[in-house]
Amino acid sequence: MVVAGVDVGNATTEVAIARIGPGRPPEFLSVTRGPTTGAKGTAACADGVLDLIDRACRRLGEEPARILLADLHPVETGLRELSADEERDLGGVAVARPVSATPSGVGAAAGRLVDLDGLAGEPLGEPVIPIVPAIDFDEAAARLNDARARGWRVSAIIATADDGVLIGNRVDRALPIADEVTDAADLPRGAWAAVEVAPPGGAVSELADPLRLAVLLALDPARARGARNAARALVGHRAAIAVRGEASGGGSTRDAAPLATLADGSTIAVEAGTAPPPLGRVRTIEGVDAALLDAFWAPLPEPGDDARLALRLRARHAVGLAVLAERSGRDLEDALAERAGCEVVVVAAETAAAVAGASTTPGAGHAPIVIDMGGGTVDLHVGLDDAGRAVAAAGAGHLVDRICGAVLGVDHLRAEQAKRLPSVHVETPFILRHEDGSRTFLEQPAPARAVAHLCLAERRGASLDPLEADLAPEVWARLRRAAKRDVIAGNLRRAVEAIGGLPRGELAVLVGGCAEDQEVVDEVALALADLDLAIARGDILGRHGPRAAVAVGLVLLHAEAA
Amino acid sequence: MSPPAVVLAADDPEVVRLVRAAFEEEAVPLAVVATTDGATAAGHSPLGIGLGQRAGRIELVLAAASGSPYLVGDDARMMGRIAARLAARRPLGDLP
Repeated sequence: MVVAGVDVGNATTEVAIARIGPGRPPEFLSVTRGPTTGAKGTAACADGVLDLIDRACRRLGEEPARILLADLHPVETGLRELSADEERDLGGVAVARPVSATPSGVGAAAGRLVDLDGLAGEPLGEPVIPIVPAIDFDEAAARLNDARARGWRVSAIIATADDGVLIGNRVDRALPIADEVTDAADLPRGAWAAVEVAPPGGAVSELADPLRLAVLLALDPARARGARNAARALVGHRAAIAVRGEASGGGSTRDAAPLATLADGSTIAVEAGTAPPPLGRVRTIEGVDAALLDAFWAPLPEPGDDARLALRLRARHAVGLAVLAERSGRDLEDALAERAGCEVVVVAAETAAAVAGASTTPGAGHAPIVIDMGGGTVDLHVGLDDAGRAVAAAGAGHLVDRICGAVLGVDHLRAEQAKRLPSVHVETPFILRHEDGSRTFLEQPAPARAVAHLCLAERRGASLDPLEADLAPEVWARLRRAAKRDVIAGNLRRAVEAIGGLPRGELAVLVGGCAEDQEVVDEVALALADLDLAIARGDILGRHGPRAAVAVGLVLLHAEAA
Repeated sequence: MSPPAVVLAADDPEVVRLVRAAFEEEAVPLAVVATTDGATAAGHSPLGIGLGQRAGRIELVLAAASGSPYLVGDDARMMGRIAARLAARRPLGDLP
C-alpha cells in the first residue's frame, strides 16, 4: 500500500510518499515540499497538499491509499507595533527629519518661518527661517543676500531642493541649512521653529534634548516635559526641524500595550519591556481571537555598542508576537478526505513524528532529544524512557522574519531572504565589503541602485538586492543573529525549562527549516552549552538534510502501528 | 600629482554649470576638460570616473569598465550628482 505522510507547516508543506507492507520497513519513494497554501490546519492548505501528492504520484505512477497527518496546532505570527515616538502626542511640537546627505552649516538656531517671497518686504524685528522653494540656487542666494543686506536676520534656512551647500556657499557657510525638505510646503508659515544641522557623521544634539528644544522654541517648563517625544523622535538624525504649535496634552498619551491573560487569571502587558511568561501560561491576548496554548514575544534586537541606533529601534515600540492556538475543528482532514478520495488518518502529534523522522539520520540510532525548529514553533521532544515528553513553544522562523522585517523596513517575504542570506555593502561599483569586514572585487560593476547600500547577496554577490536600511553589514549581521538568539534560542530555553531540563551529555538532533541555518545551529549550541549536549543537524533518511522529519516520521509510525 | 577628481568632458556651458553645481553640493572635486568623450574623461580621472556628452546626452563612464557607459541620462545636474556621490561612496539617489 502506498501512503503519503504530510507535514503542513506554517510556511512549507512536506510530503513523504512510501510503500508500506507487513513485516518490512517502508520503502520511501519520494520526499517533496512546497509552500503552504493557507493558515496551518485550515481547508485552504489542502490545495498545496494535493498538488504535491499529485505531482509525486504522476511521476511514480501510483496513488496513495492513505494520507497521514500529524495533530496540528495553528500558529499565528505578527508584529505588534505601538505608536512610535514621532507618532505620539509630541506636546504641540511638529518635527521633520530631512534625509539629505549634504545639509550646510553646523549648529542650531530658531526663528519665525517665512516664505522666500516674504523677504521682499520690510524686515521683521526677530530672527527668521526662510523656506526656499525649488528654484535655481543662484537666484535663491541672491534674494537671501539682498534680504540680509536690507536688515532681515536670517538664523537658518530650509531648502526644498538639494541645494543646501550651494546656498550656504553663496550666503553664509555658518548658517544651518536643512535641504531636501520635500514637505516644506506643509510647514506653517509664521510659526516659531528651530533648525539644527550636525557635523558630518554626527547627529543633532540640541533638538534631541527636550530642555534645549524647549529653550529654542520658547516653551514654558511644563511644555518642555511634554516635548520629550518630539526630542526622542529626532535622535540619530543629522538634520532636523522642530516647529512650535498649539499646546497639547503634554505628551503623556500613548497606546496601551495589549494585555495577555495567564492561566492563573493575572495579566501581563505584551510589550518590549516585559518578558514573556513560561511556556503554556498564556490563555488569551487582547486582539487575538483564539484560545491559546502558548504565546511568546520578543522586542526588536538592540546593538549593544551603538546607543544611537538602539534608541532609534526602541522608539518603534515594536514587539514580534507568536501565538499557538487551540484547534477547534478538523477542516484540513475533512477537506483532504473529500477531495483526495482516500482515507485520511491522524497518526500522531508532530513532535512524536519528528522524533521518528530524526532517528533516520545516519549514526543517530534512536534520537533521544529532537529539537524541531520550523516556521511557527520550536518543538522539543525528549524520549529517553517509555514516557516521552514533548512541548511546543510558539515562535520560531516566522517570528524571526517579522523582527528582521521590522528592523530593515521590508515585507516578510524579503525579510525571510534577509534572515537567510549574507549581506554586503557595495562600497564602489567594483568593491563589496562583507559582514566580517573582508572585501572582494567584482568583475562586472554592480548596478547603480546597489551602490553605497546594504544589499542581500545571493550566489556570492552575483545577485545584489539593495535594502533601504542605513546599516553596515557588520551591524545588520549582529542584529540578525540577535533576533535568532532572542527568538529561537530563547524559546528553546523556555521549552527546556517547561520539560524539566535535559540530561547532560546526550544527543540532540536539530530538524526543521531553521536547522538549515548555520547561525541558528550556532545560537542553539550556545544556548544549550551548559548542558554539554552533542548537538547535530538531522539528515532525514540520510539524504534530505534536516527537512521532512515529520512527514517521514508519520510514515514510520504508521507502518510500525500497522 | 593630479587631484582626486572626477573628470567632466563637456563643451556646453550650461552642462558644465549644472554638473559643477552638483559637485559643489556634494563637496567633491571636479575637473573639466575640453573634449566630450566620457571614456577619455574616465581615463584622465584619478578616481576612474568620467562624464562625457554624446548625442546630447550625458554619459557616466567608469575607467575600469570603459567599454560602455555605466549610466546615461539627460539631466546634467542629476548625472553630476550621481557621479559625485559615486566618488564619495554615498547612495546615488534618483537614477535616470
